[in-house]
Amino acid sequence: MTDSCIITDDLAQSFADSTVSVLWKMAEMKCVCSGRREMNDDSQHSDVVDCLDITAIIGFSGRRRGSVIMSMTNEIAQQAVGGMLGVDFEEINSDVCDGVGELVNVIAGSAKTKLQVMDIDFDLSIPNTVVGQNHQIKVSSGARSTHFDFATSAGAFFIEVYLRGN
Amino acid sequence: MKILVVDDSAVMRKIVIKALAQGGHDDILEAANGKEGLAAAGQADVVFTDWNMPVMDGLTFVRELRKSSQVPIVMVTTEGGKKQVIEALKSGANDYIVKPFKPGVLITKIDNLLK
Repeated sequence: MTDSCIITDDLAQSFADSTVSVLWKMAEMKCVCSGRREMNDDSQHSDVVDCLDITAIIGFSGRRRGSVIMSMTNEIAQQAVGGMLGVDFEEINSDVCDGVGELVNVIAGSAKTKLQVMDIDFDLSIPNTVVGQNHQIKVSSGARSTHFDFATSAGAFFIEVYLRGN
Repeated sequence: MKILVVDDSAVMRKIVIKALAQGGHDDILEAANGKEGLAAAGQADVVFTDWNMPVMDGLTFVRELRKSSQVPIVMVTTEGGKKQVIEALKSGANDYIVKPFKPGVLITKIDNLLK
């Protein structure tokens, strides 16, 4: 494993901090980071992520390459996107899927802006959203990650920040 | 006044449209990428556009639009770094809003552009 695979504290924490601020500013949803887990060596790392009901994924490339996964329950997704639009959602529909994708887009963009000041720069991909109870996502072998848990009044969700070696 | 909103996210378009409606602007055109935006821009008095979009991104859209139009353009994007802001303004955007934004910011930008 090269040094460039190790998640720097600044990089991972920027995504976690952005999650809290963006969910509040865009969705008026309060959340707190309730746990952090580094998976920077082979004994901790798995290449399969067990997800919740709806997951948004965005990639980044350039001087740093990797991806961010944000996985939520249906209830949290409906409440978050409902907060963005000022409506109540009774089910997962195209707006909820799109909204979760846009949330991870803004979270990643916010983190990117903070990291540019520290001379950590990258390009963002267009987000994608996966829907389905207990789905799994396969990540690149060789990628290392930091897992953050978040607590809200509607339950818990998580993000994982993956970094691949150059 | 007709306003064109260009963003690949339908939810973000709704957020922008809702914010514009709060300022009394309800004559809105929508486009999901820069290519659709070019087709609709001829009818618009002001354009709000995202940056990262499929088919044609926002920066390319702005450059292409500036070949034939001086319509006021505001970029509304997650790309908040100084380098990105400079690049957008050099490409022809008149102003820049970083997501997430307060709804009133959109109305202030329109008022400033039309002075």
